[in-house]
Amino acid sequence: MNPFSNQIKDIFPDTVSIREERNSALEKLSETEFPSPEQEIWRYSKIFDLDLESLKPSFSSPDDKKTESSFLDTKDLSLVSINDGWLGSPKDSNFLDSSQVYLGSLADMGKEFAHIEENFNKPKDFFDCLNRSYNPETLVIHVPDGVALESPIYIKIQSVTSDLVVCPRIVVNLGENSEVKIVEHHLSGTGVSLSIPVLDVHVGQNSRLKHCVIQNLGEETWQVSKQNFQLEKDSYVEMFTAAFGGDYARSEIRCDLKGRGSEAYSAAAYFGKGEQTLDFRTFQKHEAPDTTSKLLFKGALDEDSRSIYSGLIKVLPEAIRTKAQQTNRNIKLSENAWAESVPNLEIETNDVMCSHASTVSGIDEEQLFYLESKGIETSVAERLIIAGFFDGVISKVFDPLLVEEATSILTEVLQNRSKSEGK
Amino acid sequence: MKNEKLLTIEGLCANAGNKQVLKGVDIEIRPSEVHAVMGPNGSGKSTLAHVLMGRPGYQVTAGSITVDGVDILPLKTWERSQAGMFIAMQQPIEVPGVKVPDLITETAINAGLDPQDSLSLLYEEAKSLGIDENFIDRELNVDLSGGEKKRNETLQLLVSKPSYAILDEIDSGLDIDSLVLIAKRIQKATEDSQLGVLAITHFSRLLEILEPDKIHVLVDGQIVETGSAELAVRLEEEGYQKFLKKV
Repeated sequence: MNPFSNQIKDIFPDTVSIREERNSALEKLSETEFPSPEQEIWRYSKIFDLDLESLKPSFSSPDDKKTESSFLDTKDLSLVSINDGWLGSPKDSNFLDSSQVYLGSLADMGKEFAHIEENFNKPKDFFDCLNRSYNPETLVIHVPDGVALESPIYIKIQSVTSDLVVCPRIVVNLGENSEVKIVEHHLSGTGVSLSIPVLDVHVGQNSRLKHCVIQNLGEETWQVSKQNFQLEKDSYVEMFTAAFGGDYARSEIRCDLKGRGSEAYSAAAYFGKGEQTLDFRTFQKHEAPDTTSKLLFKGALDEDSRSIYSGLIKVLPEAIRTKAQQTNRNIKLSENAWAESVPNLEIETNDVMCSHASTVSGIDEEQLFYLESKGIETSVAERLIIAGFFDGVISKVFDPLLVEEATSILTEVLQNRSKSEGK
Repeated sequence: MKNEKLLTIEGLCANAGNKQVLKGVDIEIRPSEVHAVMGPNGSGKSTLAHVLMGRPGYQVTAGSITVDGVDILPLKTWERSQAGMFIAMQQPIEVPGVKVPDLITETAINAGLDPQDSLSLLYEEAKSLGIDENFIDRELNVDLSGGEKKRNETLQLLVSKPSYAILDEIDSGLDIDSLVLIAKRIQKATEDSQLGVLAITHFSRLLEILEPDKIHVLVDGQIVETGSAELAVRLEEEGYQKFLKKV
């Protein structure tokens, strides 16, 4: 079903190949049902509460030139998407210096890159199709063979108008023996809006990617995000998500370890408050021998908030000597908070080392006693324990600015919590 | 008399879970005094320490605990600490991601002191205990050896300057040199800042340095004998057999 207009021919000035992709996504969309909580992947979610009829796509044209203050002036490489229109996109200098790193619109890439979409999956589910149908302009980060980009690429995705649906899509294509770091900020204003960001990543042989996201959306925003990582032989990916905002914020992270010896490390820190729902679905798919994946997701839920963590480690028969870990830890900070944690293993070969663990508990009473016995007030002791709980994942993130920002958001949330508890 | 400096434990009865462990304990500790509590395993020594600090899982069923005239039984653990009590735990709890300077900073802010002064004191005292500076910035009790944990507890004791300190087997897990160093430093605190000490121990070695004013023998939740320092030496030689028969 397509909740929006199909008449988008004149809105997006697509190239022929992009038009074809868009049309096939639109066609698929009309045949695809809206998700149902009866499907395992949507279980526990509140997707039925989403009122798509009241929203409309931004239809932002890539040619709309807007003047908006540049994002994080200090950054060398920064891009901003406001209401689905990219700003600061270095259109005139898509190829950065002599490194031949491409950072710009998919439509503007030369014919020699026509094959790039072949590296990525076709849209499958409802929100994939929605994204591909209404995404005005796909941003491509292409790093050629043998190139290592030293400084991170900073991307800010923000919707500032209510009642909008934004569908940003970022494609990251790393050649062989290359390296890049990417930091995404997801923000939104007040009022109901929906963001459907898609990240498609292909990491070539022996290449390295470090990627992190900080999600600090407005409290009425809905987000249904998807990240797809494909790892070729001996490649390495480190990914991190910090999730704080949104009314319903969902993050689906799929990691296909396709090449022998590839490694994926995934971590997340999330804090829910009010009536928020934070929803994480992870897939660690081992398709080749000697592959490694480790996942650690940590969350704290306060007030009436809810979280869902559902993860699957899948090991195919040929993926012998797989090492896979999946850990989800939740701290419930109030009676009414609710955390669901569903780890799953599907292992089709014997020679593997796989483990999973999940916990949902209150603040550790013994830790609380220890800190209180040193003179720390209960509310402050709780704050220290929660901050310490997250420190193990946040402090390891590669980008110091993101660490600082995530820490300061968390500190503020916890201090407000201490204050209201102290009263 | 109400504001007399004194830690008073009077007729204290307490349960650990459903089991009665303390069956009427009386101890009075004045500033600068060192009292030792000795006794066989399972006699209630650690329960006494925990009950004094209000550890979850223990219930006081009768008796009272007052600190300088203040009834601390209704107080929360942190309020007892702020009333002047301190416990050096037998098995200090791991608190991942939290560091000693975090605690020192928070307590200083709460007391209206400059955290910087408290932190300077922390590093100064660490030096006096032979603790490396890098060690201070490690997560609380995480991956620390038994001896390191005890030094860490002592360090916090010296910086927070309580009126009364409960040392729950501070000597276990320490090598002789560390034991001597820590005991001497605590003994000095009893002189410099009139620290009152309740030391739970199995060994007279600690007491040789701490020079206790009184030794209490705790058997089956009751104090069966109180004596001077020589009692510790006698216990070391004779064991608790004689007292066990008494009960």
